[in-house]
Amino acid sequence: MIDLAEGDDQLTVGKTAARLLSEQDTTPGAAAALWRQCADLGWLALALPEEAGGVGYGVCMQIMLFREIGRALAVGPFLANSLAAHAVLESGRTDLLDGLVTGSLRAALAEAGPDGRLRYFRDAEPAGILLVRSADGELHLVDVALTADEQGLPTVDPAFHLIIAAADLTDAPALPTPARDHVLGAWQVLTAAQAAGIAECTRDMSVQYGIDRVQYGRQIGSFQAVKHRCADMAVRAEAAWAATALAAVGLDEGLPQAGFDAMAAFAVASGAALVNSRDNIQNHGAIGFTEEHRAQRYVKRAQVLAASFGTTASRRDGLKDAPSPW
Amino acid sequence: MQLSDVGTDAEFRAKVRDWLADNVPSEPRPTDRKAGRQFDLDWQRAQYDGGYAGVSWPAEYGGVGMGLGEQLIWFEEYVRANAPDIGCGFVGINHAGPTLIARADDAQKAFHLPRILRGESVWCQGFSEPGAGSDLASLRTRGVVDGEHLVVTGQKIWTSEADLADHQELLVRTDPDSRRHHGLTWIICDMTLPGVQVRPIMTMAGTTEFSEVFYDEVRIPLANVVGGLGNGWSVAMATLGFERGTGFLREQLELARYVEQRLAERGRRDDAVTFGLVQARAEARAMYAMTLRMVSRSAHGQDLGTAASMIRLYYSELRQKVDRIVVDGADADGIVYGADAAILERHLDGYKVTIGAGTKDVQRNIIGERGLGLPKS
Repeated sequence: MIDLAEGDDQLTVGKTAARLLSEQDTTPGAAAALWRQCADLGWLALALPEEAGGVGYGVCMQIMLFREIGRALAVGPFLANSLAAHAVLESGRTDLLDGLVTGSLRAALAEAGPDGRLRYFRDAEPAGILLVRSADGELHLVDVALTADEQGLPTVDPAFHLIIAAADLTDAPALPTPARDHVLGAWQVLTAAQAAGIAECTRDMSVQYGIDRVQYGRQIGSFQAVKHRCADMAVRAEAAWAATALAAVGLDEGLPQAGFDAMAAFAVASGAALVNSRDNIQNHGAIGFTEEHRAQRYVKRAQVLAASFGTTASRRDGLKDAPSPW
Repeated sequence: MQLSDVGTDAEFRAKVRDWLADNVPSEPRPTDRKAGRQFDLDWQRAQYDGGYAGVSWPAEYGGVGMGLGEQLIWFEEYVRANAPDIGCGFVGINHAGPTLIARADDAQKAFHLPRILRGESVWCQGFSEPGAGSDLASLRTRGVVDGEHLVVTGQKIWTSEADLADHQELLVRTDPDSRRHHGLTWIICDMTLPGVQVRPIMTMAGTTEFSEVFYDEVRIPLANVVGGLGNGWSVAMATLGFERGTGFLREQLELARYVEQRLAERGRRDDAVTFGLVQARAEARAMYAMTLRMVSRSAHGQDLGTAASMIRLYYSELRQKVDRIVVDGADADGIVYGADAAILERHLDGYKVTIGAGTKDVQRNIIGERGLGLPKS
């Protein structure tokens, strides 16, 4: 029958990833070491077929990993390398596979605007290969050496710069349609999984603070204003994760509504991460407004995730124009 | 995780789809309450005769005896076929029946469950009182044991379908010295007994779907007590848990269908109403996914925590958001009873969904305290 509960192997991967990330320094300064360690553990090859040197799992397993990456605020092109590795198998660029899986070659996810310029987020290390979504929704692999950086702008999240670059896509072949749809779906769903992780983590932070913090002689979590905000955070987090799981299964099983469900998961989960991380600041009061406190980092990461696939208008059009998912 | 039909699922789905295509009534449900009752019961009887009433209810009591997976398929196809709203069968099918399955004795089950499934008995729920709404445990309607009877005196209110009902799930205080949720008893009340008086209340939507019910020394056989004297709270909670969860799946899917219909009517328009409906389209999928997750976890025997309350809250707020987007965006059509009166009636009726079955604030307390472990207020 229909089963949308996590299986034992999924839970094991989630717990293992959570433990590793909790034991590591996940600040941007230590990102290079974390990157090497996660690549060595096979995180970037989780969903590659075994004959290509992967583990052979699907998107259902990847969401367990990316949820923890979101929760831990880990920095690194985890998603870009995972998707690019899938893309090179489909595009005949298998010479790039080893570098993408071992992490020695870093990918980035770029989008071409109507002006033909590419935009992508980059952490401290430069990318070697770009997986580009063109303005008409095709996917291309483009060597960074063939692009020309025009601008690098600091973003709200200090871990990332936004790079604007000129590129010519005419010689880069587009991915075949089934692979394109799968990779675009996974792009949205795995971003949603990170956002769901943020929605859950900020919920947990608020609940803990509601229990720990005492004012007027009472734990502030006993006040309905705070309690109800936490309850709403819990509902948003649950909706985000459920929508993510639904879309992940749809992609793995090749169901016709998977494209819509991937868009829906992105919309619901990125919204949940934004609202929950912002409410988390409010629940913490003045300490939540400080640079020192971790709460503000979730808001900034949620903003970057929400901006990492299309524009508000393009996402809305996508949800509107899709056939009924029912 | 798994979504595709496996094993016999596809075969069952095809059978259900064919049967619904041939049997869903083509005429609309009458607006007159008595005629509406007959329509609902006839449709229930047709489902029973077709072999699809109570898909996950035990076969020995007239159900189909299948699992939650088949029940889910039935609901999906039911909505896809545009089959009628459950109407006044709601309490019997969604609350009373599941409670009886969980807690009643064999004689009670053998008498009542087949009658519910065959469309021979309409139920209502006698829980709330004038002084016991969100604070249900403060209820005061009393029941006194006298020989083989419980003699009930008091008043219930907000009792949906009381004017149409044959039986009632009645929660009364049988230990006069008890407090809160102790000393309560859950009993099956025959609505035709002497001393039961029903006075309908007009709602803001212009309907009389709920009533006040008065009890003047109503003598109910003790054999109608479910779960034993004094155990009423736990019996009642079994019902409410179901009401907040699986029982609402059909309503959820109907809401999703409504969003699709309204969105289709917008055509190529790019305005605030369309944008609101587009967001609701995504959220309806999230709601459905939450329910699938809850049903899946239930099938695995996992503790569901406050999942049912979370889904109830998400559903009720989405329902109202959609109704309000549509009615506010309809300009004059949103305020006149004209060709598009259905959106106005639906909007007015929708105020109840964040009140009934525990207000949205009560749901938030449940989620915050029982689910998240926050201290009590």
